Amino acid sequence: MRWCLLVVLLACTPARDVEVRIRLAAAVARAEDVRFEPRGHVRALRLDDRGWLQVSTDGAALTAHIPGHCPVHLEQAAELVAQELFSYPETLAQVGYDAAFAVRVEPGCPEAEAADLRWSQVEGLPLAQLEARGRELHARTLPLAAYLSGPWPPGVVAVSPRTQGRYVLEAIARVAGREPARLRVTVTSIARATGLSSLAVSQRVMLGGDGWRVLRAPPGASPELQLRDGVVNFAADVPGRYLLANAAGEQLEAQALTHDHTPMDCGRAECHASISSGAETTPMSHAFELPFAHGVPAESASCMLDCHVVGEPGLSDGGFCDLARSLGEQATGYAQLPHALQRLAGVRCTSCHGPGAIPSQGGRARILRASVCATCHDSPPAYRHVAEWQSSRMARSDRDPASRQSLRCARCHTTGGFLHQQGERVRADWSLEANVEVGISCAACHTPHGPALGHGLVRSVQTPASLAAPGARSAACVSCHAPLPDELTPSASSAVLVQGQLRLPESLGGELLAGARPHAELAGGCVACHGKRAGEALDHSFRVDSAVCTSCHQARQPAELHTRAEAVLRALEPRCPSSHTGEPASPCASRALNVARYAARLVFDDRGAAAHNAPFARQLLELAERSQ
Amino acid sequence: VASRRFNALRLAALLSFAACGQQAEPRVQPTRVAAAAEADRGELCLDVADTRACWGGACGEAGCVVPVVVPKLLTPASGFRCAGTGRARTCEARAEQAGPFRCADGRCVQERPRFPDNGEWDCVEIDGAVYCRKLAEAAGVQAGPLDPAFVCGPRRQGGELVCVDFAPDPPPMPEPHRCAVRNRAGLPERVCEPKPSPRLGRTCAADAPCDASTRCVQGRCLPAWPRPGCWLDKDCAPGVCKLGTCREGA
Repeated sequence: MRWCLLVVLLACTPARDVEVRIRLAAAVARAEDVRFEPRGHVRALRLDDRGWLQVSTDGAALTAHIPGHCPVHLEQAAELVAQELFSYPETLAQVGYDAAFAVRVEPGCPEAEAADLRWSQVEGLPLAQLEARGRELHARTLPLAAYLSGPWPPGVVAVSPRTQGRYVLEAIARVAGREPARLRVTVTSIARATGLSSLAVSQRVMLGGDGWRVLRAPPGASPELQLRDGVVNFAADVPGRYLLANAAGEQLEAQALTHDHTPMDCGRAECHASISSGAETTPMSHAFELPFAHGVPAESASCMLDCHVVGEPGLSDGGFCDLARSLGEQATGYAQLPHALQRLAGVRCTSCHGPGAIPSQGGRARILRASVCATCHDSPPAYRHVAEWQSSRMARSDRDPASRQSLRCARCHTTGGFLHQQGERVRADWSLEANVEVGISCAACHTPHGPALGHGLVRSVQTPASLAAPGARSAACVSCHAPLPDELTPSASSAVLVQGQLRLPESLGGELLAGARPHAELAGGCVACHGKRAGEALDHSFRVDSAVCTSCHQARQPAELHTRAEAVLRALEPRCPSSHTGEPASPCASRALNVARYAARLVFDDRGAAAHNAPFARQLLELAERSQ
Repeated sequence: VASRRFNALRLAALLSFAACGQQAEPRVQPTRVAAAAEADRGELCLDVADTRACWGGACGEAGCVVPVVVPKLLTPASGFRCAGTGRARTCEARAEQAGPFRCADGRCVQERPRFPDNGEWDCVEIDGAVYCRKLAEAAGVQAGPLDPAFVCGPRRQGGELVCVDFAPDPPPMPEPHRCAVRNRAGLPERVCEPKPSPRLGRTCAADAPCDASTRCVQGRCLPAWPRPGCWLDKDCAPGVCKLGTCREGA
């Protein structure tokens, strides 16, 4: 019996718990995945949401086998750091186009030395000269011409994920007795660039034009200025203003700063209060949190850090990845991040505007260029928006400099003019915007800082009075695709035809014309047909797939409408100068003739009149034919 | 005899299992862990450097010293930062919400000091307390909850938030030190240097009196009940602003 009691006593003597905290170097999904040898000595095990493993043992000497980490030996209460099984650069940033690079994987402990590594390329255009030698991989990036072709206008060349020469390489590492480890390395030829001269320190950009030289740099700066692959590359190494000039004597003032040094007090009451509060609730501002809330698969994590946070991975730019590295933080969720990182976790002001200063007044229209959005939204296959838009006529709407000179044209040919007209971005001196070619870009229809309609951040725009249908669908489109109320001849017409109703200008009697409107109530408005793709995001080229029409209509619409309209306008020409050729139009001899010309032009100018609303187009032509 | 031995072994095994068979609980859990401060009393209790004080109720305006409680876990190398009164008290490792100290040439610099939230703040450190006033929300960033270890209130003049922290992150230096919040190229950092300084919570006695912003209570230099609402003395005229709280007289 004494022997029995001794056994009980020995077994139940409460050995002192030993508490060990282990800082993990890489994310571990579940605490259950950690294995201990010998087994049975762990009393409690917790994996906290900041990447610490807390182990309570009975004091026995143990070895913890943590996925992706070297074995950790526990014996006494301590705070330990678990070494990663392999150390390797997760990002090799801006190695250059047509440049050789090497990736080296270093074993973190003897267990990893005998690992068998199998390399493969998993993203990007196929790399040239890819050669794996054990723990090393050597390759050469593709030349710039594989992604971009010049010549470019003087200034910073915009670069998107599609054009930055981005490659993802993966090694499957097999270590005896362990699950295979997946090592991913992202290589970029150059950093993404908005095309603005507001730059991040260490961000290398390409400059359009030849013979660039640095005229002025901040104290202590040694800016990099190199000819690479036929293009001048520039990188600021310290914060401050840099003045450069090219061979033609054109100057470029670049301002460089780091993202974390940029004050984020833009929303002060006297500055951009409404913009700031509008931006706070957008999906872009929450781009970091939302995916985490839905669980981010490991293979998407690097993508998350490209476009869902501020800055460029691999650079010393004060962006999210740079700061997380210096703080030793893992991105395990928004709420767990230190405040300094929360400020950079999401798409913030400096993601688009850059961390540098506000550009000179003449260059501010550049922020409206699609190239700013392209730093994230030109990343096929997930994001094809910008590439699609570039193939549309809207991308070329202001190529003719005349379209930028007067606000009357610019209101629908330039994004700045459109926003000015909408009262969203009013400029006292319109001429300052006229030298920058932008097109009708993303910012015309979408607003990153609200007020916006729905998830797509579509701008809330008032319906033009000429449509006589307040609250018409697709207001962002119809505001330019409908005539202005005071026009003698309509400057645009397709929205009138779709809407099936129109209020004539007061000078023509102000009469309300109404007719059939078979497409006016289509869910989605214009984009119910323009850009519609079954089961896919909107095609931003806004082309109409004929399959969309034939899903309802048996035959093609007749083309006689355009011919009829042209006949009316030709007949009117002697009595109504410029009826057929277009603006500027002079008044016709009578009000009836003016009405005839107006109605005929509505049909003639809309190449899609038959598809938009053939019955109403015929009604307009009948009116024109009666009035001529 | 063999049977008795076998039964005894079975009993021993059963008892040992019942008494010692704690199951491991593998799960991910929030970093903040409970550390109930059962001895807290009064209305507000805060860590004051390495001691703890309560104000209100029996502790009155001057406050009283109560025991410091930390979680029953291995203390992190960075120490615990705790917040909350009584059973609501929770703690987390200090390293989790602020940058590490980098020490060289006899001084330590914390490059990412903690702020009450992720907005734009102006902070100073006096007598071992950090107090801050909010300049602006960070544009386009949801402010998020305030750091629970800061005590905050609206400034009397201006209305912006003023917050005070009586237990800022201690630098890894054994000797008495003084820290200051400075701006380096627009980015705030806390610079700590070895320097004797009057500090909150330090021991006091008749021959070692407290400085002007604290009073000796139960052998510790405690500030009066913090009710943050001032940044400058003019906010409290004719009184003065002491560690973010208006006090009567000069």
